[in-house]
Amino acid sequence: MTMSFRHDRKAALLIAILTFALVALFVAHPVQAQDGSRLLGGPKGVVKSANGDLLEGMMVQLIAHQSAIRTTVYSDANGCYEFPKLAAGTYTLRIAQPREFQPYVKEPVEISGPTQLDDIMLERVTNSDLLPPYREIVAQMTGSEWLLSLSGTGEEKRLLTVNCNWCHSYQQIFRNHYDEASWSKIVYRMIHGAGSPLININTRGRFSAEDEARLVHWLATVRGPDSKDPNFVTLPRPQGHQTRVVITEYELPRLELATHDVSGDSKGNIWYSTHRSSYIGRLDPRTGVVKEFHVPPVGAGTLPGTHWIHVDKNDIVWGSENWAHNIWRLDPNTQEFTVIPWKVKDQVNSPMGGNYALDPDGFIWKARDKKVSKVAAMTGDPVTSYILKKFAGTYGSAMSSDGRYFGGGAWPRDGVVVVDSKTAEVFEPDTSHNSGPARGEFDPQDNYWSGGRGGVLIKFDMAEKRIHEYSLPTPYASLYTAMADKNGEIWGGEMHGGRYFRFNPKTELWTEYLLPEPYGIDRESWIDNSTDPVTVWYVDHDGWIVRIQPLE
Amino acid sequence: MSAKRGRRKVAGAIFAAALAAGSWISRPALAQQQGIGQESKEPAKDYDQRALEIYEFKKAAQSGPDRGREIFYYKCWFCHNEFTKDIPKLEGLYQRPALINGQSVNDDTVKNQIRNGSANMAAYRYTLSESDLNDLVSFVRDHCCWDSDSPPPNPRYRAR
Repeated sequence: MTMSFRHDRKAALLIAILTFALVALFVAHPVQAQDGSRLLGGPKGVVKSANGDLLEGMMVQLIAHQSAIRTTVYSDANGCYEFPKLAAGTYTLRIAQPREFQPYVKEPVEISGPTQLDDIMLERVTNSDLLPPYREIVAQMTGSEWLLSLSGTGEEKRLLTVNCNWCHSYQQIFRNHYDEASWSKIVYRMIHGAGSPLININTRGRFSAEDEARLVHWLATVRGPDSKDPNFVTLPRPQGHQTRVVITEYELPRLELATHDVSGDSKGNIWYSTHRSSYIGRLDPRTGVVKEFHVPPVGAGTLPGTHWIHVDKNDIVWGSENWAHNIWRLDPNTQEFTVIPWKVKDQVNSPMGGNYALDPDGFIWKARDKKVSKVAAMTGDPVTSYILKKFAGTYGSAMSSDGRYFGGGAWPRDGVVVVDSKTAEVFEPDTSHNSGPARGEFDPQDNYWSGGRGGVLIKFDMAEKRIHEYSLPTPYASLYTAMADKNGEIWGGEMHGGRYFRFNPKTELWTEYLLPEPYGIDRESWIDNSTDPVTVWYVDHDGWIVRIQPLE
Repeated sequence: MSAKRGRRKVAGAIFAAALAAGSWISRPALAQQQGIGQESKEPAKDYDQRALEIYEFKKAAQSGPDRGREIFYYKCWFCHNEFTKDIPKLEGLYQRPALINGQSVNDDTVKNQIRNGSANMAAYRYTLSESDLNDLVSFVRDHCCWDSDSPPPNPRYRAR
């Protein structure tokens, strides 16, 4: 009996260990399901050149006919690509930005599960390393590639990249030909017009009259009546870890919305703001369906448009009307807007500094008129203010997750403003000339990160109380924001570079994800930290929402 | 949407036929004109690349007043809008007796105004083609002007 009992105990122990191991396996399964492998298991195939070379870094895209959702994956060093599991149905299969290759479009393609697709064979347009300026190719060039390819001094190009970089793509400039007098009229309006609407004209421009004349002269030289499109120098295609990503794009119901910010709610929806129209919207990424909301009418003679949009912890949506000078609050359940007139001195149709931050207690923070202010969200009345000694205000506004720190890129000068609300300390460090810090976010260690229009990623190290700057790997690209994820990695759109960056502060290494569309006016982003790896969202100025899902 | 899909199919068919033939129609290579000295083959157009639609002002339509509206938004609206002061409004332009320069209002005089500009207006003669101008004036004549409260629908959006 005793022996038997011992054996039974051993058996029970063995069963317990096995059970524990099995439970551990099943418990581990959801974690495993969160890694990048969940983004595989769909249609797959190989991309080759017509002479049989395996092609790496080609963007293979499937467009669903029913929803118009576009999914893009990247071929690896063996030319192999694999989509995530996609809804069964009819699709268009194509190569996004074929560039040196002829376009490839195949439709209809029926997809059902892990379909093995025919090899994609691509024919070269040219064997030259420079691309000839055929219209199809010119349209695929990023702003960076335009600037690499056009003649001109670095100084002339710098005039453009630090002053003309946030409102539109560079192709919107370079596709044109004007004489010098006409360039002068256009540049005057751009340089002297307030904000992106350009309705109110200021006598004093964004830079000096001498620089304005130099920019006009250069544009008339490279984009004058007789200027030829250049042969294009191109940036390299993605390789290795840069191909380990899935990018999904969603159409919006309207054109010319000048879409600006995104923010996610607790139900997995993505909200977007529109910069120069009355509509905001809510995308359901599962279906691609968008519900539009019409912001209450603004006053006569005032341009409608929402700049900042933010979904709070209760799924209430907040937005700023940068031209009408209101804050609004939307309860999605009742679909009721509350409009809060914002007490600013600026004239309507000029920017009111419309980037704000909500703290955990529901107060709005902003930096304007030489002070950082904590204000009551429903009235705009100040609760607490911190005086700035150096800078007039900030372009962006961010709060640390615990509500202790405020941060923003200084405006209009080069620097950063950080406030410690616990100690009332105010930090106003300078950054390098024309670095242009703008919007950003605090990382888990409370360091403030900011995207710089001069193509510089800027960190205010909270422990060291000093600035660190990191230059983008892609030339002529600009930053608008820098977002920190739960792991401390930093993300942001490389405007005009056609790429989205990921920066690891521990290794100081960059990963650049090539975007399916080349112009990349990707301003504010939102990071979904509930997935592993994280999921990054932005809305392109040209009117589609983009989801970036790294595989690792 | 059907027009766009048909357009893509035509482009795809042309491309496939050219590949099947194993050779492309011989034509002066642009690359040679540009001095590269390499043979090149002009690519077919794939309008599913949004950038090409953007570049050619063809997001809303291939031609006609809807395309004209898009050109208007990018080339005219930033001055001729409902909010600016001291810049001529264009609503009802064709119902007016004359342009500011005194000429009668018709497609030819309006196109000339756009081509040549004025003391305060850029000249678009080198940047807008004749088909661009035709689409633009068809919008200005019959559908003007832009409504910031109701931007045009996106033909690509079809999730329901």
